[in-house]
Amino acid sequence: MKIKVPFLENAAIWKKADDFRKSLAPEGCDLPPINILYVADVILKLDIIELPDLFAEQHIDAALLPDLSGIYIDQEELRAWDREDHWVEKRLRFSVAHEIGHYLLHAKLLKNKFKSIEEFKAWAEDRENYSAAEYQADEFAGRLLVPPEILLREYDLYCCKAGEVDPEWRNIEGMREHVARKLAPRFGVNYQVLETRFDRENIWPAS
Amino acid sequence: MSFGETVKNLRIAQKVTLRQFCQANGYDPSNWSKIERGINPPPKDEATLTRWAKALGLKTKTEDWKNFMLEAEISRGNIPKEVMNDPALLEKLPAFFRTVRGSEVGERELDNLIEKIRKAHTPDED
Repeated sequence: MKIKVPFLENAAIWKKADDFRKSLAPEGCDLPPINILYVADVILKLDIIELPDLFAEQHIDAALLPDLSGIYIDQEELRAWDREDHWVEKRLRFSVAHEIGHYLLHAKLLKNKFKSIEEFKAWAEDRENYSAAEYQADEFAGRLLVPPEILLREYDLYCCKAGEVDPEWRNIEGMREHVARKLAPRFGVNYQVLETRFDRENIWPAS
Repeated sequence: MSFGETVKNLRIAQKVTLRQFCQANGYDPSNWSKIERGINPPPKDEATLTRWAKALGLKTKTEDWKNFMLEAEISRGNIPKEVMNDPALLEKLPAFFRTVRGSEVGERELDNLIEKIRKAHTPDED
């Protein structure tokens, strides 16, 4: 099976994410940390289908059904979400946002159906087939969950406080990661997501 | 509209996720998902069905209540009990995979994934 993933500028992906986030305002879901399971289940009406050991055996947190009817999610992670396990919650929030990215960016591509189980396996084993789509969905998820204006505001607040203690604070080794760790809980994501946003939004690019 | 769709719409009308709904009412999310997707049939006994209707916010003896009971009855006879066949399964296999740290998914893991997905779309045994 051939699926040609069209090139998308980051700006186009961000616009899609920003527009989608704004559309969540009437439901009160546009502010971080975004209640992503509510968005997927109640707003988009996607079936949330739990699969046992999806992460343990396939190393996958979530995957979108090609008929766009739902998302497969690792059963253990959903149970951890129920228990308010924040570490899992942060990872799952990003994974579900990533699948919503596929839903909004790649719906047309998913119409190409597999003709046999063998074709599906050959496709799935060659990651090169869909790495561009994965990048785009990641970029969508990061932008959706971390609104740039709120990130900038939080970052500026931190800068003010840190600057009072040491004007050269930004040059301290490991400070970029430290700030990402400090701000990440506001958005309900892991600090690596914030480090990527520092880069992409040109707030604090990695040197 | 199928019984499963009715159930899902009633739950969504309450603005709760499937998991919140199941937690609040003591139902298993995996089974409830199969009900909403029309894979598992509604229960035969009226007491359980009545509990479901109440949990979904229906008031007894209303038109919606009667329709709910009627749809359940019709649905029980319409839901096939077969294991999902390959052509139907192909419609449910994901096209994109975001694996943790970009790790490969080998053939054995894919076979295992295919069976998990088949099971997720197959009715539970009585």
